[in-house]
Amino acid sequence: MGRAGLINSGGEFGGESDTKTAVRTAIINKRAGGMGLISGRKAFQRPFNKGATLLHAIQDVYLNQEVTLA
Amino acid sequence: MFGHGRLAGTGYLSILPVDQGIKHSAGASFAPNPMYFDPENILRLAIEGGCNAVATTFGALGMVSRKYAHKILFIVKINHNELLTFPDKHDQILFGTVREAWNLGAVAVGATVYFGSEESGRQLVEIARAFEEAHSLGMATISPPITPSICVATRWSTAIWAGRG
Repeated sequence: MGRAGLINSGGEFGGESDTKTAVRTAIINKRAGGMGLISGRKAFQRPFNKGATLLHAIQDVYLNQEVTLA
Repeated sequence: MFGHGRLAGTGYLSILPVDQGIKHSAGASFAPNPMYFDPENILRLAIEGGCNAVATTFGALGMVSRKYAHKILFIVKINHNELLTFPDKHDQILFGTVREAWNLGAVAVGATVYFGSEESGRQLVEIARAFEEAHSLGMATISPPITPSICVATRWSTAIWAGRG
């Protein structure tokens, strides 16, 4: 990680492909040395449980030790 | 902030931000799922979603701070664009003070600067002053410098976030 943590944002709600897009963004952020993801509309513009699941999917990228710095 | 949620202790952050209620109007933001017209549900989603913190408005956090300030970390988004007036404006204006954010239990404040816009000079000065006060109160600061896909490092931010609003 650099001196200033870089958090990427999720972007607008895009439908069913959102989980894939968000996970991809998280992988890019993590591999680039970023510090995390801030994801709003993708999480709250869908049913509550699916929103929580999407947030967990993002967090799983950061918990997964096989996803490393590029 | 690094010690809460599913990512506690990893050095990474997962944050739920909801300021679109002002920025894009509540109708545009919450029509897809009307339960979030009640801001308590935003906090419930952040908790259920295992986030380190939730970032939203003075009003939303203030309404429920007694019930949730000790359950999920608060980040107050202190400035917003708003589409509630006509004709539309494209400016980030402060909606409250850092001390007010601190008083409702927030651990950090976030603010946007529209780099490249005519108003960015004024916004920078406003937010630099606000962040100075936040730091003096022991709070972290987060700023999304919104430019088209470009992230500009700012010397006074604890963290920066890159995005397209």
